[in-house]
Amino acid sequence: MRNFTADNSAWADFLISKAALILASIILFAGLFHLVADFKDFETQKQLDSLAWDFQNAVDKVGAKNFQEKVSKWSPQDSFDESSDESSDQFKKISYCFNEKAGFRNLPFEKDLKIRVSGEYVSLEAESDGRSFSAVRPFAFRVLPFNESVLQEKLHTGFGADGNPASPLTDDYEEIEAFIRMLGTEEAVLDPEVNISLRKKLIYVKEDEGVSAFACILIYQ
Amino acid sequence: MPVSSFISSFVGNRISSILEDANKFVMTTFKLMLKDEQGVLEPQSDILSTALAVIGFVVFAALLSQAYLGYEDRSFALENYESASLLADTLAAAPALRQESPNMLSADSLDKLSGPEGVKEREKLFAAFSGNYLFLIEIRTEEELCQWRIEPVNVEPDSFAEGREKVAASVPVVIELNPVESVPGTLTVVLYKTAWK
Repeated sequence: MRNFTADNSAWADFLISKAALILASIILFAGLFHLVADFKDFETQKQLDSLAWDFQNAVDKVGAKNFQEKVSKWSPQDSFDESSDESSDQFKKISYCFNEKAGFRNLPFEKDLKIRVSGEYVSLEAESDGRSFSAVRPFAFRVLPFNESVLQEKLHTGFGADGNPASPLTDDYEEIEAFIRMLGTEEAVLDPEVNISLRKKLIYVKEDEGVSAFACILIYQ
Repeated sequence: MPVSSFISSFVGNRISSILEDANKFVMTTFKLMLKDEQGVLEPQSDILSTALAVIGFVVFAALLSQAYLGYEDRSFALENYESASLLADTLAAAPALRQESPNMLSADSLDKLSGPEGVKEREKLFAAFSGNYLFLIEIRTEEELCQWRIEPVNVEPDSFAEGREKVAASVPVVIELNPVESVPGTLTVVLYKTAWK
């Protein structure tokens, strides 16, 4: 003990200061590496967001094409050429494939990306290195996640009419809207490797003064 | 001498004397530090430099998080401006806002749509849009002599309250006031932030 107190070489000072230095350096470098790792996650998240945004944009563009151009009143007595209407440019099927997008190919998830579509939103979910990423974008236009024949079948079940010009719906607008909204709550899982079809479809409604229609976009594979 | 000038000269003298004292103190301390040859800080110079590096890192991280928070605050406008612009473009071409002329909005149609009797028409106009985007349409003539506001039906009364976060996009339009008078104007779509966005 006497030797210890008489020792003036300050080795304890030296050891403590160096230990503190090492500790501080470890914390500093850990913080830096953590920040770099966070940046990588942030970049992946932004890539996923941008992919979801790109799909939403493609769907909204289909909806915006010649908006309500054909939504005009016509009398049931008038002849209506359905084929010319449904085959016009605005109703042409548009294909979208995630696999063809550079943003998709740059993602670190490979085939683990889950794509879900409902009438309300598109949702992209994936996991990488134990971390989960997700991006959700809402659609601006009315969307239904199934094809034309399924829509006709559902409309027939709900209202007893197909919603075509030849067989327009006869119920109240508000009721039809609520039914379509309910149909839109269904979720469809999409395969990123397969083409997705986007098609604008008009649903015809018979009113007192004629027949009017509103558009919705069908998304299916 | 007026009281106000007496007070201002007194306060001025007091401040200048405090500043002089502080200056003297700093200079004395600085001189003492320069003359001090005990080397108290010398063995711990590495700790001091590490502390400086840590402080620098903390400041850098704080600045970074501040920038991210700033981006988050404005993300609603950044992410939704494109949608508002698309909606404005789309609605400017909607036949529901026109009558005879295909290139002009009709004041009669706008009167009908924005009035209480236009509920059915508004329902039809908004039927093609999903309920995800809460928006209203404002159309005004260039000199703001006439303006119309078209809101969707069945929305909560406070949905378009003033304080809510929103983003707007406008497109130029021509408004047909009557068969002989048309004026330039703008159609604006104002997109409001909903609770879940």
